[in-house]
Amino acid sequence: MKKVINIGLIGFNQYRHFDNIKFLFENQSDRRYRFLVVEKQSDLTIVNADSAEGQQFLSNNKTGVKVYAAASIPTENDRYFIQKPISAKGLKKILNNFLETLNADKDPNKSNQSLARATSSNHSTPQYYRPDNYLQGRILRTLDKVSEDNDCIRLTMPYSHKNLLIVITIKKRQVFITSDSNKLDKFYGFMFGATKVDAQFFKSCEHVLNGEEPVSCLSLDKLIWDSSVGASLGRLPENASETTPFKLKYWPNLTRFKIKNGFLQIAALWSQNSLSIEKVKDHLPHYSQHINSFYSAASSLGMFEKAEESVPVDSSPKVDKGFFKKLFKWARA
Amino acid sequence: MKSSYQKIIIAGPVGAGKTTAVCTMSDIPVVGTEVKASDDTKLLKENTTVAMDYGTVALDGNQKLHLYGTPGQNRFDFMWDLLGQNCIGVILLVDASAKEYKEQLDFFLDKFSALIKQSSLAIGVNKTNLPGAAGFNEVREAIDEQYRRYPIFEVDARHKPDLMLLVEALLFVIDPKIQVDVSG
Repeated sequence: MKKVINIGLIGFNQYRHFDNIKFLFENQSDRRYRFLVVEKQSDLTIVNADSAEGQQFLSNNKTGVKVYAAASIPTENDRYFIQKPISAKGLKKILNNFLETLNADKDPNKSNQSLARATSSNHSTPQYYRPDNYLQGRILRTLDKVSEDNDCIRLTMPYSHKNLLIVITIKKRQVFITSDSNKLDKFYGFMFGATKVDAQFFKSCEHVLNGEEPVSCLSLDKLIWDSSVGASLGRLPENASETTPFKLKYWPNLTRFKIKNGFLQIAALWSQNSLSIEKVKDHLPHYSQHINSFYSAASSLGMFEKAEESVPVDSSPKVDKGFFKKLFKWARA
Repeated sequence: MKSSYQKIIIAGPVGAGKTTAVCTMSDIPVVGTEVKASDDTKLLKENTTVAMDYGTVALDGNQKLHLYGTPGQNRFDFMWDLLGQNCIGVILLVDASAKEYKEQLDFFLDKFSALIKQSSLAIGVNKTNLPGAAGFNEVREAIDEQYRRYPIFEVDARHKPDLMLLVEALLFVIDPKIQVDVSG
């Protein structure tokens, strides 16, 4: 069985940046080791020394075989350094160093133990994330704080005390943005960590935009759904139970929400049957990570209800599968 | 459902966008039966469908999918039963800008209930962007509880991707576990 090495990334807050490094690391997996990017309890940590979050981390932690600093400009005499932009070759070198150190222990049993300790998850173990570290959690937490008198929330841009991120109107469940709504996308996978997103509450939205004309508007449900899918990156929110059965109260509005492969099938299965996450994965094994993302988004919108587990009825005899496949081909063309 | 003549019915009240939806999805020029409205319908729009709209979609292997848009007026309800044979499912379009959308939803879901039970249903909420229109969530809440577990999406009947997603959802309701590989 493969040994799993958990990798932590600190300060890589741009969605694409994070995703690229995650891809590079996980692609280094071989017959002996599986490399997984996780949020907590990592065995090896890569810190973006050019970010505020990374600098803060490095001021409290020294670099070493388990902590590498990544920066555009090399740090003098630092063995535990990786040049940005990060390449697959650079990552491979770090991993080799790390594995060599782990295996250098003279007592092989001890070495195995240390590795076993360091590798707490395996292939079937789901990865979790903390929604509070992302825009998803910040919005949900802010909405929890709304009092009856408030009808408007103004959220400011991270690392900024005044620049507007979004304005939310509670009763109408609408979100106003002063830029193209696509630009909000980059914040969904952005790990805020300790970074504050300031929220101000108002009775009404009059004067809240402070002369900044909203350019685009989207529904609050869409913002919550999309930010959850973006934050999830195929992981489950922490505290999610994989074994408790749930049923969807209604379908998500998938013509308007962010959609991933398999979301329609997941919605169809979960709206007709009460199933645990584990069981949905058994039925749709190709979409394991997308099931996690779907769960994260649907649960953020309170779309699940608990119900006794039910067994999906096999409807295959009444369906002309050949004809259906042709229909799908047309629908997706 | 193993017949070579299979159809999807697009139903809904007057002005919900049925003719537009059939035109958007069909490969052929739609065979329409629109005439100048003479009854109360003329208050809503100039032309209305009096028999049905018909379109087709060419599938691989010379197979076809037939699309039928039903007339929206209640007095044509005898035709709705005739259209039910070999039906894969019903796409019900709702006009969110109509004041009486709740009553319309109840009426159409009731009329098509038998057909929905033996096939499938997907609901498209159209015209949510018009001034004074009900919000998507309001329309969804107005749907009788027994139908809320069917796909309900916001759509623009002129926008093909919206309709295609509705069709896909309609199919997955029938078989959520179908292996879909459209690459070949």
